[in-house]
Amino acid sequence: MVFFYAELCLGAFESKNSSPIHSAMGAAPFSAIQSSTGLLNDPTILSPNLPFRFSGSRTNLFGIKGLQEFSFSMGGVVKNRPLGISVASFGNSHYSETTINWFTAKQISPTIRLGMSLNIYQLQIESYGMANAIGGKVSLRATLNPTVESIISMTNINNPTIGEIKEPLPQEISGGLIISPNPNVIGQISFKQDLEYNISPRFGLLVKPHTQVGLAIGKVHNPSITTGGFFIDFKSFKIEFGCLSYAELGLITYQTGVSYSIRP
Amino acid sequence: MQNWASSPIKLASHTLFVLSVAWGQSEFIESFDPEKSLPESDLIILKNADIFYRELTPESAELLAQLSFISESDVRELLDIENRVDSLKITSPFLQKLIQSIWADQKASPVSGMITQRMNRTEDIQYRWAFDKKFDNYQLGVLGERDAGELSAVDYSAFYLKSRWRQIDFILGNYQFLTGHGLVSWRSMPLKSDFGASNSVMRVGKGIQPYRSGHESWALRGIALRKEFEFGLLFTGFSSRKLDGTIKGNSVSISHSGLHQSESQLEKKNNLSEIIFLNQYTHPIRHGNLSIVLGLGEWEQNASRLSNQILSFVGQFQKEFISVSGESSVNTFGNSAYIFSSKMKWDSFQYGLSTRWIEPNYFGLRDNVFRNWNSLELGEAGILHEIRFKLKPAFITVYSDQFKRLKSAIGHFTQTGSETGLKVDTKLTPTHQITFQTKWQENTSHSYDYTISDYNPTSSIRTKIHLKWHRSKRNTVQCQLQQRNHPIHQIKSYGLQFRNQLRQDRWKLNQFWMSTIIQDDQWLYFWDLTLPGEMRSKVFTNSGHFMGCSISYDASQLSEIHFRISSHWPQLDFEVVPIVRSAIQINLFI
Repeated sequence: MVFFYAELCLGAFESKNSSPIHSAMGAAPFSAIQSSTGLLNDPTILSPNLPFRFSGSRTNLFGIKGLQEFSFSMGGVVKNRPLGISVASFGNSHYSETTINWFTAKQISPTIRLGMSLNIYQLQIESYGMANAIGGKVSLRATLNPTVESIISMTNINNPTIGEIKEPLPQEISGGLIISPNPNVIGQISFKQDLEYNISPRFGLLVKPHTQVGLAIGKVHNPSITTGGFFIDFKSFKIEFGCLSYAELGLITYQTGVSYSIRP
Repeated sequence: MQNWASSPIKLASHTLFVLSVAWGQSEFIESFDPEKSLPESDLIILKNADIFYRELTPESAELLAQLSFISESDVRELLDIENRVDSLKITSPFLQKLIQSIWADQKASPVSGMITQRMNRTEDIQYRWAFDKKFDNYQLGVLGERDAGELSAVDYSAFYLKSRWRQIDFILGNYQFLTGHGLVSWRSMPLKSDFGASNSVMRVGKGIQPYRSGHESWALRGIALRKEFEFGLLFTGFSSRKLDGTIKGNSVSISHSGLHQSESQLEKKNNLSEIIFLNQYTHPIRHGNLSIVLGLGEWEQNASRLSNQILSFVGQFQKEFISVSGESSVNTFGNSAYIFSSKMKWDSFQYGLSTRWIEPNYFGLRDNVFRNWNSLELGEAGILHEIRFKLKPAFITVYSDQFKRLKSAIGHFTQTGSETGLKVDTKLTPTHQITFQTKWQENTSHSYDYTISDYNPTSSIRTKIHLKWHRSKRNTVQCQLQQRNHPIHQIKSYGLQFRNQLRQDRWKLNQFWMSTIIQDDQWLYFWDLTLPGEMRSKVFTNSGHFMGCSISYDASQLSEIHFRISSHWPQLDFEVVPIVRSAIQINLFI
């Protein structure tokens, strides 16, 4: 992640570690719907009544064959404590990034939930070797009223660095509001800011024409991305698809994911 | 009349309390002079009083007594609540109205804490998070902030824990040590001459208090204790921290910006090591008390070191309608300073007198005494008078402050100056209130040449007329006209402001419009749109227009969302790209 020059590759990590359906909803930096792939960027969805879930996703960045990302996550309640883990990898045999995340969450008041994750970053470059770093993420989700939730997150709050030259890993602040006027319509308005760059505002909408089907669209500003996708619920499975069309690059990123819930 | 005698410092408009409709704290804060704002810690104290308490209790009274703008007599009344049987009965009309403004909007269930998150868009985004929680035996506060353009997610953080152990009150973390009249250690904002300044000058620091502000350099950090003995009261504090600043001769210059963007700012970040040990012993005597303050400070910056010890005596006496207070101090370099004030107060009349003498290069530890010029090197002496009285149906306040530098720079003349103010506040009808105020400031020049204009002193007359109309319980309209001119050079600036406040169920709407014609350096100051906990003034250095709107939504009884957006055109003809600013704030109650 530290070897991509962002000016030449706008939005190179916009869809990284994100769930397909939330990417489709304007690359929401949090989970607006219950989806275990959403655990990747939002530990606050872990709650004591969450069924145990497994999920996997595959991302084909910019539609380029060599830019593939895979992730696997699982989460649930272990001894009354919401816990989750995810592993994401990106790259090939010459260059690879691996991220391992441990998640937990705690309800600190009837309306506020605190989520935390411990992130282990591993970077491997052929002939150069390997470097590791540990980062932390804190998220706060508040139920403002039955139709509005707010979320704020800070990634790499401990300002980690990687490698011998102590390259700082990106610090990000993200957050926003989830508005759900009725169970079949969910909107999000959010932002994400890598602190070295300008803020990126986003919004998205998910509509459920049927209880088992959801269609999502969205827009990201800075960089300009149009998003879209869908999910299908089938028994305990959820299949997700999202795509992000980069206006300035003329390239499209595709994401697919599947998750399975163990019903209690 | 007594309420005017005890009204707060810098209260530019007294109108808001007079009417029965309570618009809350934001309106209260906006009644102060935008040119001379309050310390942020006051805003946080007001908010904490709102969230942690439902009414006036000994604990909430102790919190309110920490507000910097209330008078000494009001502080005494607040701290005396515990000793009275009818403790909820407050006699000071100002306190009654302050309490009404804080607790008018009752929440259904009491809360024990609050989380605030604010995003403020300027050139970049400023983020701010604050957490305050009151537990059974202790209180905790955490603050994190990332200023616009900073590369770190949290460029400043603060923490305090306040509790009591074996009859010793203690604070761990960030705290303030307020002593005397500000010659040793005082709040982050200096006091300037203004309407009501005589009340504030009489105010004596009440010792230690948690520091809740985002002002990065004014807090002490370590441990502070308060112990009450039979024969007096002892405060002691130890602090060790790093801050942004520079050692300059026999004093320390502390950076106030809190920004670390430019190379020089980054170089100064935490470049000064500081150790402070401060003690105050207060002994009660008949009709008052006497205090002795002893402070030690050590600073280190690269190879430079500075050590300062300071000794100060503080006295405070009151008998019937006369009160007298004063502080005199000397530092290790032999520089001394004093401030003495007295006040006479009858039902319909009040007279305050204050004198000050601050020697050149006088420096305390966190001194911020009443002075009009900030220059440390040249010193200042001054005398302030203030009279307030009622002439039905108007309340009239007049003040005059004469001041001079005690030294001049090489090749310069010693400067003198004066400021005089008149304010008339009257209620035209039950729903219309009008305030007229004018201030005249005159300073001599420190250098004269053969240009005729340079023989004239620098002077400025600022006039303000403020009209407030409570159309209904839900709607208030305000209009303000300002003029500022240089009477000798015939330079004039004009400003007009309209405000409309509307309240409907869970929604509040606040609309602003300002237009100004600015000439030369006759700048005008207005209040900007503010969110709860903010205190922003808008200074017009060019002619132009400003439009703004804020919306507040009580999402539930335990949450609020506030949003503001504004647009400023720095040209009268609108043919310029407007500067757009916005902010969002979410308050969560626990």
